[in-house]
Amino acid sequence: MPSEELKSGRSINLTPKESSECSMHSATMCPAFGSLRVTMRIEGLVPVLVGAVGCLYGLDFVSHFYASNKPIVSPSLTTRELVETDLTDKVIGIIKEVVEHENPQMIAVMSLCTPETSGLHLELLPRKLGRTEIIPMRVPAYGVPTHAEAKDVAISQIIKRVGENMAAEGKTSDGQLDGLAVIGEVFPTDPVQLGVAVSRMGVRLRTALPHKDISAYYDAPKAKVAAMLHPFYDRTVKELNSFGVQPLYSAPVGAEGTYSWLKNLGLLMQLPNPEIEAIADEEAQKVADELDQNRLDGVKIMIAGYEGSELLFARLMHEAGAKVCYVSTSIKEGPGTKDDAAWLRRRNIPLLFRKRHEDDLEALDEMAPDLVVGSSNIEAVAKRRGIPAVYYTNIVAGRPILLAAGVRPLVDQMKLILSQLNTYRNMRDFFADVDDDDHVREPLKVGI
Amino acid sequence: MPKSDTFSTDFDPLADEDFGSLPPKLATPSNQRSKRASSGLDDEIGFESSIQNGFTRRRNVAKLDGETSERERIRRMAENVFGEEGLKAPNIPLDTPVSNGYWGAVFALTCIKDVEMIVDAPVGCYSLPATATINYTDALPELENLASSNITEIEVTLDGTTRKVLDAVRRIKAREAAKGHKKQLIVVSSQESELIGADHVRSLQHKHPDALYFTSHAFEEDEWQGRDAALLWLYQERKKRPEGQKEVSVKSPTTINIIGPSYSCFNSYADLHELKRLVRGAGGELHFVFPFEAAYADMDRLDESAVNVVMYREFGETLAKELGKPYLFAPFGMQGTTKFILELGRLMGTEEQAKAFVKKEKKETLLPLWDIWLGAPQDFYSTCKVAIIANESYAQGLKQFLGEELGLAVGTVISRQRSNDTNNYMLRNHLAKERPTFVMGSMNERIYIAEANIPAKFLPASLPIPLITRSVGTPYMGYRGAVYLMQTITNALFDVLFDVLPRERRGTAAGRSESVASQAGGPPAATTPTAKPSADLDEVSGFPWSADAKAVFDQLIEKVPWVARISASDKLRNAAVRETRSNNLSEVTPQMVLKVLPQIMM
Repeated sequence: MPSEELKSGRSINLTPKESSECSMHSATMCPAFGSLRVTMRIEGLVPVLVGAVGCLYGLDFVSHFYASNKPIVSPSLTTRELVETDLTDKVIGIIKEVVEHENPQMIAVMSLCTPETSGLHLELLPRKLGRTEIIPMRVPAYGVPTHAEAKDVAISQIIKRVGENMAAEGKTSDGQLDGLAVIGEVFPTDPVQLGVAVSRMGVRLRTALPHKDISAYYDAPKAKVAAMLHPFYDRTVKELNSFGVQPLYSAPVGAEGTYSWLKNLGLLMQLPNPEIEAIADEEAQKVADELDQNRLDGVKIMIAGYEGSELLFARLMHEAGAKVCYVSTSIKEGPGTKDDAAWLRRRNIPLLFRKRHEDDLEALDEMAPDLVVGSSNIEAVAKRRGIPAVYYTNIVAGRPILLAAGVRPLVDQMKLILSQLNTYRNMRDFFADVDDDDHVREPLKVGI
Repeated sequence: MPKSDTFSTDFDPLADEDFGSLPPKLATPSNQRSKRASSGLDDEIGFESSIQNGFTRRRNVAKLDGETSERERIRRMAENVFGEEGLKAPNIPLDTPVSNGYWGAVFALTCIKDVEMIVDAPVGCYSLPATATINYTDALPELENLASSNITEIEVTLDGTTRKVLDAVRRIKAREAAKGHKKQLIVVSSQESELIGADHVRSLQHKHPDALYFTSHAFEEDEWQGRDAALLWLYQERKKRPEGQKEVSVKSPTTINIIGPSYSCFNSYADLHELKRLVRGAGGELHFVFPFEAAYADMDRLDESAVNVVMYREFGETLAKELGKPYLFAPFGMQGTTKFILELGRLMGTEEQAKAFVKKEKKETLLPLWDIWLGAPQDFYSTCKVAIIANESYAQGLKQFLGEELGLAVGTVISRQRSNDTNNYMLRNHLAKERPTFVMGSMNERIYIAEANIPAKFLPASLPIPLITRSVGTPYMGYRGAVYLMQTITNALFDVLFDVLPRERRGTAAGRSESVASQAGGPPAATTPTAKPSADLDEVSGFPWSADAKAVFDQLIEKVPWVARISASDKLRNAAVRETRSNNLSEVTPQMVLKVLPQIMM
């Protein structure tokens, strides 16, 4: 059993909320989607997803919509495999056929709740068949509680494997680490911006993960520092650490964030302090200048996503003058969230990890925000009330947010949404007599 | 592959159904189901004792599939569809096209208006159907009457889920009571809860006897079987309870039920709308639409109707049989719909009204169909190859209308029943080879034709696909469906033509037209500017070809839909000649033709 991975998910499960009521309405996508999203976008990789038919159907559906147009090899569990132990043999058989017919560079085998429970022995899969690397990824929803953390599982497992390969071939850097790797799904030009900024400090940006090229994963363990732009990559940190790569948390978002991030990078890179100080100050000043031009003063904004990058967005919104009244996310509090959480809490911004959908609903009632950036179901509740609202995942996650170039796009986007206030209200008013007082919809009817 | 054939003799008998013919057997006899549902009574205590080395085993598995027979079955299915080629099918299950019994139960029962459902499931089993896919099929932000026990590791390895399920039931009941709502609670098992042997029949009987428990048989049944069983189960279960004891008789010979429409069914809103119109037109009085638009409290109405219309062949028929009244399936096409209306009229004793309705419809609703038929675009119908991969109702309905009634060249037809039966890996190869003009199917087929870079027009005909069909203006069933489909197909033909006509990319053709290089979809014309000034018409038509090259050319052009052949031939010829010239060869060779092929959209 994947004790390490399961343990990390366990803490929250064992800690009841104050109300002692568990969530009846989950506030995350099916976790396995995270690993699919990472692996399906790697060229030359065939994803193999093992689970019950319902899981495979749903995950095929969402990942063909959101991840890539790549077919997914989907062995499903039959009743027979629940009582016998040959599930592992079946998966190996299918992998062999994939290798024979497709000869991919890599196969990622992701196991969901049911094979994890019934005993799929991923450790018995061959490491390699021909040229094909076979990488196991355990992503049961009861053990890896969010899709953000499943991205971590995917990236860390690939890095683990390439690290082992490099060690076997004697190609490790032997402490000769150099440059910066960045980890986290960000806007395509964000690493470019970052590369320009750090190059001023003499730091080379080696690679940005997740990446479509497998070779990029071979580059990460050679970096001196890995910047975890998103806070949930604990397993990846651990893998990179084993090569001596040091993690840098948080991200250069907002003026203060940019300053402290560049300073911390300088420290980890052991660069001379006065120079770093100057560059950090200058970059932060550029962000501050942008923030002067792009304001959301007085806008009361509620942020309730499940992506794990909500804290950074909250920092940016706060610095742009918005009144951030509530921040919640589905990931757990950990080393990666420490600095940003402290920063937000110092400003008395309510912050909730491992949130329940019910928490968001309560917050929406209490806070009466001007703008809601949240999960798709909280978005719908807000829109019913005529509050401008958008889906964090679509509108904010993965948009430009780093450094000076990361200010205007999102501030503009928020302004654009707010400018539609009348449209939201007119919609609400028009349909006011459709929903009842509890905003509970009458079931659908096809009128004729 | 390390096959475990030895097991098959032990476990096969129940799985030995005849899967060789389409459609596979669908209905689960009601007695079999109730026997199964009551078989697992190992409640709180039973679960703990089933832990072995941290893993749990479900002991009460009712039906066992042998590995050999499963694989053999898939091969036989593939052979049915793909012929000899299918026998060589590799065992690579690709892109699950149909979900399982758990999803079926969720979608079939949550659309009942006074039902509150609690699924005994981990987070993904809740969020995928309840907040993710339902957004992109039914445009619902979430299934509001669905809650989850949210199974976590502690329940899987230690506690079992009973406490959480009972807690959820209690809270939902309290919430609804506070609002003064009377709701029927249904707890449904998921793949994970079934796997860890969680069964709440006894504990619910003890603590909440008013709540119902449905075992969804998530591993054994596909989505259609799940929907079929859930509808039948709810009807039978209610009959056993005080609220279902009333004597019910048929209201009048013209009362009609529609059985089947539920969440996450392809195009169901428009099709239901059309179906209702047809029922009324034939002289019927629409009495109850179950489960969509229905209430648990009103389920006596199921017995009050004289005739049932079963909307889908995939599910709902078992309940119709149980009801014991005559039933008809929802119709497709001009002829199919006419038969349906007249037959419904006969069953209700409203023959005259039904006949009059058909007559009136011909002059109104169906007239566009007649007009399109009279026009020139129709001439291409028989040259259009169509592949249909859809749920049985749509696969058979579209085949009948497009193929038999309109004369399109319907080739591959796959009725999707059980997941992975059709072997998508083979289908993927097959579509690339067959190069249909139109592919009607799901997101999966859409990906396969995109991957293969064939110019087939994709038309949606099945889930899974992110496709909201809440407008009632896009029916596939009935008369309006016939018109809508014919219009859609004809417009798709226009699209094929649009894509193949010569097109000049702005700014690239200074001076003179370089039609071949500037086609959309082709690669940027990097070589063109440096190549020799291209041939004028005479140079092109006069340039020599080897016999082999011409043979390859003909073979390739054969694959192009008739409607697009002239333009495609022109493009391919020009490109081949230009390539030959730039290679300083004296005649066009097969290699030159094949080399330029990817540049040409065909």
